[in-house]
Amino acid sequence: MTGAETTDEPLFRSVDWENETGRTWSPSPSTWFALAGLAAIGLLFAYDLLVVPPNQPVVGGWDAPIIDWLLLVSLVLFFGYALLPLASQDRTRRRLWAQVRNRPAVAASVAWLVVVLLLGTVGYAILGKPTKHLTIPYQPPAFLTRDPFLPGRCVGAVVGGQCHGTLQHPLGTNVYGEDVAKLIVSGMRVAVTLSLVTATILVSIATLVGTVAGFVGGRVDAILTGYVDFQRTVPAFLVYVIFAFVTKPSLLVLIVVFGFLNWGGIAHVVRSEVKAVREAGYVRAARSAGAGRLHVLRHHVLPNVSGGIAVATTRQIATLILIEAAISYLELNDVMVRSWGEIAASGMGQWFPLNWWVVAGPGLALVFTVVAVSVVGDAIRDVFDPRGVP
Amino acid sequence: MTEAPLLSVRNLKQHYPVTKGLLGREVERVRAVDGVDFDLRPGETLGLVGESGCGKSTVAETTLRLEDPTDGAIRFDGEDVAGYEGDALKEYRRRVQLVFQDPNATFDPRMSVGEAVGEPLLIHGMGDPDRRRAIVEDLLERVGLSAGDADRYPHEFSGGQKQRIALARSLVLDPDLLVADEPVSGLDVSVQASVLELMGDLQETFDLSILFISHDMSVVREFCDRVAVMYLGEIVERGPVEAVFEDPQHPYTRALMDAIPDLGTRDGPPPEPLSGDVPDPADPPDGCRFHTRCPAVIPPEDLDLDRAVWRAVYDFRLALERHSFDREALAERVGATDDETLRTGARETFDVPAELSDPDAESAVSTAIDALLAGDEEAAVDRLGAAFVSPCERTEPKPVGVDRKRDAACLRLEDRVEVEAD
Amino acid sequence: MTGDALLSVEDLTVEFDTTQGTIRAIEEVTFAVHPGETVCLVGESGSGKTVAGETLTRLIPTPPGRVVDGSVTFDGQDLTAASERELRSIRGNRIAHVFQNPQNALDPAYTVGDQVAETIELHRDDPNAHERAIELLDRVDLPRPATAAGKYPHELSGGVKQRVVIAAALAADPDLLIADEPTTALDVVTQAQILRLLADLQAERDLSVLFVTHDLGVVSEVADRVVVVYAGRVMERGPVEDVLEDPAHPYTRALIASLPGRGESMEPLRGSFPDPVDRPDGCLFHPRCPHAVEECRETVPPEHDVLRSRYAGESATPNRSAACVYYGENHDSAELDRGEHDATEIPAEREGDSP
Repeated sequence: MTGAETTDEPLFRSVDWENETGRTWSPSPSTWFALAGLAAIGLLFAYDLLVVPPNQPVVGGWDAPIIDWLLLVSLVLFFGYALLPLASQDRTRRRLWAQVRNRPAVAASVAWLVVVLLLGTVGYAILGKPTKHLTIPYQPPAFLTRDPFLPGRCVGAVVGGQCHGTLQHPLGTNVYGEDVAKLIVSGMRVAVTLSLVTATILVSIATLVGTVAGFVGGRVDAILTGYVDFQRTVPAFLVYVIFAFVTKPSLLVLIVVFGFLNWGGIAHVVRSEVKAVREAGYVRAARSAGAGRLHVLRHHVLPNVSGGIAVATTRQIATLILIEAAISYLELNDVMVRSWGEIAASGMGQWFPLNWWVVAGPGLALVFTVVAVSVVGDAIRDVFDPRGVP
Repeated sequence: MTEAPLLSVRNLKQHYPVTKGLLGREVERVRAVDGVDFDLRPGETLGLVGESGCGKSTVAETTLRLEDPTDGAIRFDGEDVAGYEGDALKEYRRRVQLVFQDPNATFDPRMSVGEAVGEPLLIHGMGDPDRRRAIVEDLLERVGLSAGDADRYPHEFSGGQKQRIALARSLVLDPDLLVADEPVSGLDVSVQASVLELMGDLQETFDLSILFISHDMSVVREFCDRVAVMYLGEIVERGPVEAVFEDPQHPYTRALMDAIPDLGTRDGPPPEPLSGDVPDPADPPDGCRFHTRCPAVIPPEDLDLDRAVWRAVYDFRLALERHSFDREALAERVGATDDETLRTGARETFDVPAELSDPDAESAVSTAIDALLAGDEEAAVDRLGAAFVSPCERTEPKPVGVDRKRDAACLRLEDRVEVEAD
Repeated sequence: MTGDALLSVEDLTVEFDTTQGTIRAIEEVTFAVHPGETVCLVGESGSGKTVAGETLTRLIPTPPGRVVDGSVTFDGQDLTAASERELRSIRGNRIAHVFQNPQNALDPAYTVGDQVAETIELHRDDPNAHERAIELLDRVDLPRPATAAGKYPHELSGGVKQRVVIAAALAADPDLLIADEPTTALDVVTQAQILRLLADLQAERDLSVLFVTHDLGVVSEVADRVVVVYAGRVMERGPVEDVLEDPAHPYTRALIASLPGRGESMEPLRGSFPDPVDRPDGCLFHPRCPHAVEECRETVPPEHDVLRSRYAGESATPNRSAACVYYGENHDSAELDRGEHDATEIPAEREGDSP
């Protein structure tokens, strides 16, 4: 059992190292997927730019504002670099499944986020914007009644002077008669856009800066860290508000401001994890076997850093969703963007709390989503924690 | 010397400057390795022993060029390694492999064992994953595991098994030389033996040369052919392992041997261990670096004192030079403030007898103590410094051949001064 | 050995609840420490030696740990039944602990002098705790103890830190010192210094020591008596000279034979440690034992007296025992000397696992 008592020549000795070919640069599956996806988007964009006349929708009713292109790109990158690796690696898939199976909170959160993602993208594309029905404002949710003071005729049955809700509008309608359920789906769309696009910007910049700072070290590290420390003092919220006043408020501006100002915390996490990995025994082992920096970066540093990135990013996103709600409440948002915050805030006018379902619906969606993002973030941290049991 | 050495290191130095301020002004240098020479012949196992901080791990890293040496020449298979870049360096990193101490830290927790063992193959350009897999499975079997283990993850294995996997990884590129840095130190006693046995078998079967670094002398004794003993960045003794361990020539080696607990009952109590700690490598002692602790430090020529007494007096002098004399602390200790008690107290603190047999020495010591109590520290230091100078602090010993196969760097050997047995 | 034992441990059994199941860390462990004596608990990973040492003063967190059976009697008092309050007055005061990594035992935020004084202040009403601390630092051979007392742990070397830990342990003048691998993290010369220091302190204060270690060399230097533990059970016990030079139990023999650098051929121990959740039936060592017979698989052997000794001392019976059937009635222990038994006796799937 000590091995090496065999008579035949071991395989590793049969390698003719003099004549082995050199470089083997093969992109990972994630990169293939990303390239394919981006190519497809590129084609679509070219089509829009060159073929479709200006101000005309590209396909269906979609007239492809910038923010939607950004969403598409973010979706491709999210699937390629976040979901695909999680699903394809045996180990992480098993551990993620264990988390879902053993912790109901995680299961519920993942389920909710999947719903949000699907409805926010595909669902919205199918359902489209909610339509206004000005004659039927403030319909109550199904099986519930509303206060007689509220204006507008009742779609459902009126029994004992009370208007009843119908399944036609299961969560009721708002002041414009827009179906609250559809509004929530709109909100999902906004949440998905906000989260994914901002996350893409945050992760890209933070990973780049954090990795360079942690890997290169020295003066470069000192300069970058100094800048990050400075940037973290700049309140993105305030910057957005200023922009909102100076130009007009827009979701894109919010995304850009947060994306480009709030990556500092994540970069910090990346940097310390990169530093830790750089010192790790297995990196020394790889280097002593001849690995160059690029190999170490790709095979050891980035995979080991991804857990930290995921956790830090989910935290930022959860915060951002709440901030967007706050901005809506302060009426500093683009009212054409039907985020949950906007819908809820618009319901808090003169009729509140009689029209409580207009606030509760999107409000709950907001709460679920923020909590779900945090719970999933923690679950991801546990998945990546090497001390856990597989 | 019949065969040319596979690895030849001359005057290897690794200094770490400690800088201060924006401009990086060097304040001190940590001399981790300060002039190390050794040869490693093909098929040989050379042990490098010493306590922590002696620089042996730094020697390992520098030899592999994981760090670039401050000075010195490293020749592998006849060629100078220091100049290697690019492909030449990569080839060097194929022919020389490193095995680490901590089996828990040496594997990326995200990679399976098969991926970890196959990684060096990937690094050196073997793109075909099936081919890598075949080599890895074959090698795992040869180190006492099974091919199926390739899909499992490092944390599923015990310490001893992980070390076997580490050995497999170090062999996968078919190297000529293994540098093993404390390969069994983290393992249970009963497990050490089987890993050492495996290493021995692998060495024999694949004709490996091994540089074996360890602080555990029993392991080195079991496994190595030759041994080099390091102290504070320098090699103090070198030779065949049995000869060095049975009959150490350098006082430090002797102290190390004495400190090893012996399994059998000794005749009488174990010898007095070395006193003090290893000095700071940023500020090593002058001359022979061991002179601050050496039980056999050479006294000045006409001094006639018992060896232990001489050492005590010498320690007294060295201590005064390094630290200032605190009269109050001494007073508190002896519980009195009168000069007489303080005088005795000062002597007692350093184990210096109340009266020395050598009159010159006695006068020097008592004058110095009087000067101290009078508050004139400088005079005390000067007086002692004049009376008690050892050649060991003046001259750095060069390695002297003890016989054809071994040498040691001690002035006593140069002078052919009789080394007293304990 | 006559005279009352200072510490008497009987049939101590401790379990832990883990996500993988309930683990029996130690089982029916029995030993005693007499006044002025040094007893070594020797074992490798998974032997339970650290758990044994820490259970004595209930340092084990009690969930998930649990004393299932057995008693610990210290100077007549049953510690397993004592309240937490009573135990707190004993810890540090009458029974002191020294642990393996001195840096973990010292708080980086306080000076070394403060930490030694803390033990004094906890158990004695001494207004001069700090002076006493400096005296103690002097006693553990720290050069310039007054200056040292003002230093923080990170400014000191490993050997010096361990001396500080010893000083703190002895501050309240305990009767029993439980030292768990105190020199494992130290260099061989520093280790020799610390062992010498402990021996001196022990003689000076008539201290009893329970020394937990895996290092047989250290055992040979410090122990009067040895207790060899494997997978949570005691395999052998006896005077140190007997156990090390003429080991009775096959595990002890195999352990000693696997030591490197002794000049005799090194024999690795085959097989691997038992899975703590799925322990073998019968004798825990039998899957790896070259002399195992059917009986070994069926029943857990009790500790049998071993009636031979080169150092019988004053008493007629040498007070040695081994938990092996070969020392029982139906077997002849001389068979153990005659070489390995038929290999078919050993369960096939366990043999040859590389450790």
